[in-house]
Amino acid sequence: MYSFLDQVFASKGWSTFLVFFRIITIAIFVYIVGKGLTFDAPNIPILEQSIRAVIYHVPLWIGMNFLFLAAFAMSIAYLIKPRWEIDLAIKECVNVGLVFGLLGFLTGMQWAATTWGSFLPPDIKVKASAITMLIYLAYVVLRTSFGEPAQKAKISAVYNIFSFVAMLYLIWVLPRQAESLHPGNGGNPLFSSNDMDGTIKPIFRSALLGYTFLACWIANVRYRLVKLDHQIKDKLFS
Amino acid sequence: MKKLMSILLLLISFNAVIGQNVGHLDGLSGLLRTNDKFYVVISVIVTIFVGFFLYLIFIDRKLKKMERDFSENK
Repeated sequence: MYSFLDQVFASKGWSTFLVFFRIITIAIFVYIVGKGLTFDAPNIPILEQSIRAVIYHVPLWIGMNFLFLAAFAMSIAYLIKPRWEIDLAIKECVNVGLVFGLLGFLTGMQWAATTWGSFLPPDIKVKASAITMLIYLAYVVLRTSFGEPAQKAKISAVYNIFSFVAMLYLIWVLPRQAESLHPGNGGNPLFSSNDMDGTIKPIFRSALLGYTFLACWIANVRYRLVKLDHQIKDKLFS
Repeated sequence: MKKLMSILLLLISFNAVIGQNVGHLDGLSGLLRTNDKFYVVISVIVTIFVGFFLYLIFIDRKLKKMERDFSENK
């Protein structure tokens, strides 16, 4: 099942693609910071100039969602055909996803303090994202409680599948059914095609892409690190 | 009398607006709210960059520890 992927990841075309992908990530970030701070934004009520923060805050959560989606797919692949590298990759995806989630939470608190009047407003999406992060933190804790690696990997893969489903409901479905301060939920307009102006749309959309790429980049670096460490330990103690 | 009462009424009616602007521009969130809340965007970006750089330093320290363990156990 994995032989095709092994060939792809070892090929030269893949390393060229990675270089290209990293250059695009950096270019997107330069574009976002440069254009995002300088484009002409009219002062709308309450938000005023802080609407620019949507470019930097929302993609953090999208990056986290993407990494958790990748972890979910890899968990299923692990349960179908176990392989220790996939287990390492799942762990690193969750670790980096948690970092993105934490940053998203912190930046959200800063934004809320100035526009919604409090660092932790009684908003359902805030609570839902906090619960999601706690669920994935519990995944990290779960992994430390096992000694035997195969058992650890199997049970944490099952837990990961449940956590992803919980995240899907908590972050995407539940806030739309309840009253919420967040755009797109509780009857508020969303940052979609009809609600976003033509000037901010390309910046926002490229930010979504750039943060997702950055998340994959960091997870990839961490995965290679942990994999090398594992291989070295194997070589020393076997 | 009527003129005096109407003038008094007008003066009292301004009391209604005293409740506005409470909590504006004091404390840290007040500072972020000056200049049309542009500084919120700056603080968001700085948080993200500082967060990522701290994470990089954390990864680097972990790598250094691994390298040290490897060279000791050789």
